[in-house]
Amino acid sequence: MALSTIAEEQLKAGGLELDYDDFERTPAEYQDLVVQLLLVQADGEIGVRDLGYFELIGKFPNPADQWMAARVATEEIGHFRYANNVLNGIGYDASERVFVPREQRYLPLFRHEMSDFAEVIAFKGIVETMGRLLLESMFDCNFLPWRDTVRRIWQEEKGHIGFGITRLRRMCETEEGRAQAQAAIDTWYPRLGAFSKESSFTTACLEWGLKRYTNAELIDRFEAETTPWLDEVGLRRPSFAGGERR
Amino acid sequence: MSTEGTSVDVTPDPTAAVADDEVIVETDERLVPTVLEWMADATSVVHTIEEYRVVPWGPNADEMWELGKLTSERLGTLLKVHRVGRRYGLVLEDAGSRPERHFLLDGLTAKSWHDVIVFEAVVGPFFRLFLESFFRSSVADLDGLTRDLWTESQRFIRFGQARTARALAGGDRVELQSALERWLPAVVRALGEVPADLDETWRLAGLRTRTSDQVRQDYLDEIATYLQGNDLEIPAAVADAVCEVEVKWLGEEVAGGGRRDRPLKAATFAFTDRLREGDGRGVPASAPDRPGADASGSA
Repeated sequence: MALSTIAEEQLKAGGLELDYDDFERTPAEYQDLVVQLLLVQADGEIGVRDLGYFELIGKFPNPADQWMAARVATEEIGHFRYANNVLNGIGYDASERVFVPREQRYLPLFRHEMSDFAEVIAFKGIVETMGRLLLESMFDCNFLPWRDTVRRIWQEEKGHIGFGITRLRRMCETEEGRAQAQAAIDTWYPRLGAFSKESSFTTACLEWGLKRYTNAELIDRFEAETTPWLDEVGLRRPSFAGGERR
Repeated sequence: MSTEGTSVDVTPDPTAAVADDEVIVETDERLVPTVLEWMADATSVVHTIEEYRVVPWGPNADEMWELGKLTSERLGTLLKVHRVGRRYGLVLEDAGSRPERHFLLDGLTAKSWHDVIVFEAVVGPFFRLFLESFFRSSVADLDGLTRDLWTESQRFIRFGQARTARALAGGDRVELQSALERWLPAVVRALGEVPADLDETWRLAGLRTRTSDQVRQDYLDEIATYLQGNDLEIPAAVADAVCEVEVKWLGEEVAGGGRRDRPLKAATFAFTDRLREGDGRGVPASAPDRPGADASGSA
């Protein structure tokens, strides 16, 4: 006997928790939204392979940083695998995103290349904080396989952010280091401007129970979290560049 | 060890002959840093070949992930060597960037996935054997460190050899052979890098339990067998050093004889049938019955 479909109203009313078996019973719009959400996440995670990060590892300041940086980058590849596993579970695959050229990444943020250690740690400390908040926005996601995966990714991202912030703090102990860190922040911080505007995609995710923060709330949280320590180490907070989001 | 309640006498007999590896020596700890420097150079090979640069070029995300983990573990082994070095007043943190370090492998770097997997499969065993040569070192720090690094090196080799086998099965023989042509001559040259007098000093001090010559022979034997087993050709440049293992295909002899060149026939109960019918050779009364059609058999 075929199971009944899950109505749009039921999903949007909240309170439902869906598993793999439920997915095909959901409205097509919801399915498309979940697939796109996971695809963008997978694409962003695997973007690490083409950011210039791995090529820079040998130039990092000391063996401990080299080791940690290699671990962190590898975990990002692992996050692609997590997201793709969920996609596979609903009959989709993002493997073709692995080798796309950098300039074709879905999020403009990942279309740039890092040039030195300062940029790597600025990315980890600043950009990944935004990434972590985006994950937190999905902590109550009604699609359980993804909710569970988000928790797993989030746990590792916390470590990446810690790596970035502690190294940025250390770098700021000298004037020369602070100048390098500031240049890296000036490069990467504005690129988060994409999140400073609301998007129809995020709005849909909110309506369908996949996310819980608007972009405005995300930015508020991001600023509340990063501003204190940036101020403490004497780093200026640049403005967001607008309208980069595809 | 307690021998209470037994007849075992553990009192050393000063006149008894001892095996080479049981010789107790007074180790001059000033020599330990010389070993640690070489170990740092050996573990720095991850920088020498710039292995991390190849991570993004794995054939798929799963393999990138695996290579990324391996690379970070290799970088982690350096930290272990540095940690022991600090106990002996050595600063080894710059070991990976010193241009005069050992095991530079002719300055080769990994350029492709095939390069990396062949490196791990073929060069990896050399570093494992180098570490093994310090097993049972008279200095506990060295013995412990080498066992730790050795355990990790086994994983690296398994990674390389498993991927190489898979790549061979997938038809990548040309690429693998090409990578082998790059790495093997370099590692064969590396076999002779430890100066003979240093090798002897380490051995006499009980720091090293296998000499460079033994390591060299162990490696050549092992790698020749590996290459032969995978139908990879020994590069001409090292053919004199890496002698092909002589393997004679015994064919039918191994299979226990018999003819394999005739069409096979269905096996039958012809023997029992013959007994029933009587073939003139004398039918014993206990000749087995042909099994009946039903499961319980017939009387």
